[in-house]
Amino acid sequence: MLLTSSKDLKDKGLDVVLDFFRKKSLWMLHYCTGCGAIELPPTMTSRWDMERFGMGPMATPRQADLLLITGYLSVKSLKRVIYTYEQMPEPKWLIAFGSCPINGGIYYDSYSVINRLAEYLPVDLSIEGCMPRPEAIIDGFTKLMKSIDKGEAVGYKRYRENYEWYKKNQAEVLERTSPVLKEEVADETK
Amino acid sequence: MINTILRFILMAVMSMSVGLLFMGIGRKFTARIHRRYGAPFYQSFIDVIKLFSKQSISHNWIMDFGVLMGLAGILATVMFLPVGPFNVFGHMQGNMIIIIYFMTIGYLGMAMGVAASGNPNATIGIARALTLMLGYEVPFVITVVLLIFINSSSNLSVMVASQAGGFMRWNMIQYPFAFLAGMMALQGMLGEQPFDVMIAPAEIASGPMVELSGKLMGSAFLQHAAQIFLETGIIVNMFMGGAPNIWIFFLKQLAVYLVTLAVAAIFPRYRFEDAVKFFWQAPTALALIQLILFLI
Amino acid sequence: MIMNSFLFVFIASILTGFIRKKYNVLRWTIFTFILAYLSYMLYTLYGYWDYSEVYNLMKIGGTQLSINLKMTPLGWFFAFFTTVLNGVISIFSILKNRDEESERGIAMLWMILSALNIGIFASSDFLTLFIFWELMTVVSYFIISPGWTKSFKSVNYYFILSLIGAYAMLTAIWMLRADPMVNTFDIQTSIRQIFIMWELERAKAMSIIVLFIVAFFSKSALMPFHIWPAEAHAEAPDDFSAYLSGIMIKYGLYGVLLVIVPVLSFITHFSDSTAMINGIPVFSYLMAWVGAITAVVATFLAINSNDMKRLAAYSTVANVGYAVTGIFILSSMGVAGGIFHIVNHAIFKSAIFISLAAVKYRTHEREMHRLGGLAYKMPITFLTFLLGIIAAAGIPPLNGYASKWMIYQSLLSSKFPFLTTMIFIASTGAFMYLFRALHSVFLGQLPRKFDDVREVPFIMQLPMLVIMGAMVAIGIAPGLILKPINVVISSMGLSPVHVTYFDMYSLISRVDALTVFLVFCGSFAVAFILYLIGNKRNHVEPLDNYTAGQDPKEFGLTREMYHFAFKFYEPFKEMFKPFERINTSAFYDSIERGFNETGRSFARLFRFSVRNAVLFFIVGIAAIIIYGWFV
Repeated sequence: MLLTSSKDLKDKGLDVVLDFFRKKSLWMLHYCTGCGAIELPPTMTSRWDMERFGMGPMATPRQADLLLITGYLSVKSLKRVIYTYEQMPEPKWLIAFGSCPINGGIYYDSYSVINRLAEYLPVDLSIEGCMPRPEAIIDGFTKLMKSIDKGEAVGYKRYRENYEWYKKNQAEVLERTSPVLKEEVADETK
Repeated sequence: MINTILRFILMAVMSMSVGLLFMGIGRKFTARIHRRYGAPFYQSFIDVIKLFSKQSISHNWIMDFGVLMGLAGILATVMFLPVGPFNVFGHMQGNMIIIIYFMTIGYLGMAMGVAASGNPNATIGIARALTLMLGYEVPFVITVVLLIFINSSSNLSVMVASQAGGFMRWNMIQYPFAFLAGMMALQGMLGEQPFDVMIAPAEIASGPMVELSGKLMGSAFLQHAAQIFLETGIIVNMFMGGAPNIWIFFLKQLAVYLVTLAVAAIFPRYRFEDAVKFFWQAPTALALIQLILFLI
Repeated sequence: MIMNSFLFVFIASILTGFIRKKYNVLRWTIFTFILAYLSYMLYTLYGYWDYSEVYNLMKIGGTQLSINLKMTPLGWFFAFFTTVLNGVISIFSILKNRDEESERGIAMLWMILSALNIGIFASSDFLTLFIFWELMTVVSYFIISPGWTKSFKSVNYYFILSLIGAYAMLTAIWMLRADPMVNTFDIQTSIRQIFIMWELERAKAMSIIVLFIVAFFSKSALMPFHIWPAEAHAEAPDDFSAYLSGIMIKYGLYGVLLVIVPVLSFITHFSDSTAMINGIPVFSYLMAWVGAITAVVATFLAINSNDMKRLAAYSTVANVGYAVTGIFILSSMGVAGGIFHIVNHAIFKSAIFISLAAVKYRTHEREMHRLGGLAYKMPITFLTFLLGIIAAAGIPPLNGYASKWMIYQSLLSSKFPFLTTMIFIASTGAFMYLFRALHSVFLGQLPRKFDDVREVPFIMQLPMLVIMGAMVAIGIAPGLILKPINVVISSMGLSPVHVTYFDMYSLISRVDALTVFLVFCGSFAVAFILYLIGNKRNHVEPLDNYTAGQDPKEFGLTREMYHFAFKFYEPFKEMFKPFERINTSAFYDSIERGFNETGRSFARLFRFSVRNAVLFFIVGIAAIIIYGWFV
């Protein structure tokens, strides 16, 4: 991991060394989007201790590296999640929990839930299950750490490069969240 | 001249790294109290390097300037602390009044920087932290004044020298009430439970750190680490007789810090006005009792 | 020469009253030049400690009334530094008053006030002192209430408390004059005579000293007269607030240094029958306690204020409390520390008030919670205010900590633990309200309507830069001010304090001011190097903040609503609810109501009505009968 060859250093720059430190201290945003979040407290607390990998919960998106989409994402939450994801500074990673962000899960035919998160935000890792047990979650985290080390977890760069495509997809879905009675839209010049 | 500059840089690096080491050991200790494994003891170093390698956002130049001033203030204070036989300035080290006043510039810089971020959570956190400061300063000041009177000097190295000659001559044993008051004030100064209302992640979204990211947060971490080093160092010098060499000094500091963490692990959080009222009752009473006992 | 300059100033001020409003700038520029002339005149008088002028006024019943002016080191020091500071503030006023309505009279009166200021410090005679004192009170009363129509009640506190003090002083002066042993107005002779009287007739000397203390404490706003600055300084025109808070409130302290401290020094050294505690008389210890309690109470009142000028006025009262505590310890360290704190406080309080005046000049707004975020638009003003706050909280490396350090050393050397604790508490509390003022006005979010606010013009920035430079210079080299102070306290009979240009020494420790400053610069360099090592930083706009994921524009969050400034320390205020019953201004209000009621009921007697006429008739007849019976 830290033992790099000079070819690696020339290709990727200082990131080779820094990725070692980044993978060892991932801070996740303490934001529980859906019902899959119920498996997070056991993962964080004494029984399946997440902190031994250096991971810990943080309060605001400015301080966090890792955003977990735990469970289904309604269209209303998608708007807030996009805003939160864009507020996080780079480098940042996104993990999709459970089956719902992968293909819709048990809510695949609902009008207010999105089916594929990968169309709206760049997903670095998906953990399937409904919902995944803490052992599966920790397995997923270690896989993420390995892919960060290899330099393959670059979802944030994908987001930057394909920005228009992502925004087009998001706009199509988010039209459903605009209020029906137009007078309720807030006016900042008031 | 070059000698002083080298010692200056050595002290800065030493205080920050030893502080980070203590934070890491502290996390392991808290984890063992919770009956889990916990992060490795060098975890805080990795955290800081990760933070410095992350991009950061900033709203205006005052935010950067304020956070820098916070770190600079604490580093400047640490320069005046005698660490066993090592000190940066021969004659002026340990002047207690200068130390107490220099600590405030660290506070002010940090407060200014986070208030400039424009988030009301940060300002609420700062208002609470300042009110809490008024609380714990009262017993702390009475303790410091008592020790200055005992030694007829406001110099920490004189206080250390007067405790030489064995375990029974330590101020911890001779003035136990003052020691208890000082330990309670230390709990407030470090921002540990039950007085961690300044951070309060669930209430005010981590208070002052709400908009800090990347290297700004790394500076805040380093400031906290240096603050741990400084304040445990002050308690060791005032009550536990300093140390004949640096490593024993670090061990004593670690002991004080772990006692603080042990108390923090089992307590919830006080509301800050209750915390201020508590500080003005129990620790102040202890310190006053000790002062009156000494004057009589 | 002094009186000639006064006459010149009077004539110049009356002439400037005739300049038309279109040429306001000219009027205030003349003011600056007059102050420069007065400073130069004082500078040439340095060292002539035997110089004196006598002007005989009239003879009343065998007493010769005259104006005696003399330069003593103490008087010269105060006169010089107040005039120079006044000059710096006046540069700011040149442009600030360009469009003001009612300031034609203010310029004239302020010029006269500058001359009276020197007159107070140059008097060697109690009568001269009293004449200049009263004139100064009356003239400043007319400056504080511009237009004579608004807020009559708030300046009333100032005027009436000043009058109480002035009449107390007059009573003491006449008691001294009427005593056959003293029989003079001269200050130096009276001091010796008071000491002799202390030994022989303790009660009479004590009452004279107490009357003087009432006079000086009411002028300098110590307990229980501490409420008038909050009203008067807040209502005064903004640049005059700097003059009031920085200079005029110190007249009481000058009086204490002139009269009370020499008397108490004599008592300490030569008296055998006075109760002493730790080497100073018990009376002096009590007065030091008054200062400490004033500091703590004023700090708590400042924490609870919502208006920024009121907060600064209470801060002034607290700092005067520190200075008084230092002075009444009667050691050379304490008195030097007190005088040094007077100088430092004048400088940093002027910085604070001038930046607030600049803010008001650009935004026309005074309430703290309606401002916010102005630091991004007015950087020089923000820097001045920030340095003023750092100095006011006593933080190294600016000038506040040097004087506070000396006061602490004097308290610790003379072994007063409880006083030290009180001063420490007040100092910590000072940090609280100073940060509130900084945040509410300059940090946080900028309201919409101030988006195009610019920095003040360069002429108004010049005094700010000068004052900032002074604060930093005195912080690095406290000897600049302490060496002249050594001359002053030697003339008062105390041994000089051991200082060099960059170091300060006390009995129990020493401070190297240059080293402190260099250490701070070095740490800042280390922090800056760490900052450069980190990854790059992106700039985001102020409203792109942590709002729990919700876009602010969507739920109508405006920048004014997002700024947390109103009721900043509300829970702290709630903690002191039981103490709100002890309210000094309510006490004074009840006295005023009592007087009003008595007067009104008495006036009712004189109204023309049959009942009153019959009452007078009966009372008159009864009086005549009783008189006839007994005589």
